[in-house]
Amino acid sequence: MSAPETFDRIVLTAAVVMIVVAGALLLIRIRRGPSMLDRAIALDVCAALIIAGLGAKSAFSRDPYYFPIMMVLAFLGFTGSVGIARFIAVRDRPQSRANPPPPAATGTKEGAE
Amino acid sequence: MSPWYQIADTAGALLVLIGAATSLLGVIGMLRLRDVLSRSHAATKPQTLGLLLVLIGVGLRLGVGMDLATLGLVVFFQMMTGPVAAHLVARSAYRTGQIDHERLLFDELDEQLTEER
Repeated sequence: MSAPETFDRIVLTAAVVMIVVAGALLLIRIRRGPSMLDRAIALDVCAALIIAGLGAKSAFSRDPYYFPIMMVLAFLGFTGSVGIARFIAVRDRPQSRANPPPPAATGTKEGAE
Repeated sequence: MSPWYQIADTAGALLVLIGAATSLLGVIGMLRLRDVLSRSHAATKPQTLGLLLVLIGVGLRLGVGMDLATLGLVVFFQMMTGPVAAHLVARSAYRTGQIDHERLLFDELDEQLTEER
């Protein structure tokens, strides 16, 4: 193996490691929340990271084998976050400084008990 | 093997690395920013710029016509579906009141919503 090829391999391995680290940090964001919309955005970024990881793998081994998977992910990756933003986030409101929790008398679970 | 192929290979690998670094920076921004809108701003870096750089790098390393067409389709779909999801998420964040209105410089949507009433 020639020297530039070794350099390429090292660079691509570093790229894959960066993408995996980014995915791990993204899992922290998905775990922490605080609202479903943050998780929806993180889901979009997760699809983009999977596409980037498959691209780095294809660049490493020079095969176009995973390109259809990348295309399907690019085409359908946004449906999950659209569904969350459209149907789930309306019911889920985080309790924060900007958005104080509603009083208990307005039909929450504590008020119903 | 001509030297131009070698140069294209190394440039492609470096572009993939730059794209991965951009994605990592965007995800770090998603961890550190504190609002849905600012996190959405950070999330567009891996989705557009990082992915574009990675796919250009892959195209430089593969360099066959059919593969380049598929990569172009991936970029096209990603650019087309990203704004749709971002728009719906930001709209839902606005409607459910998860935005700190005092920190906004302009709020044209609020003007339109109040004119409706």
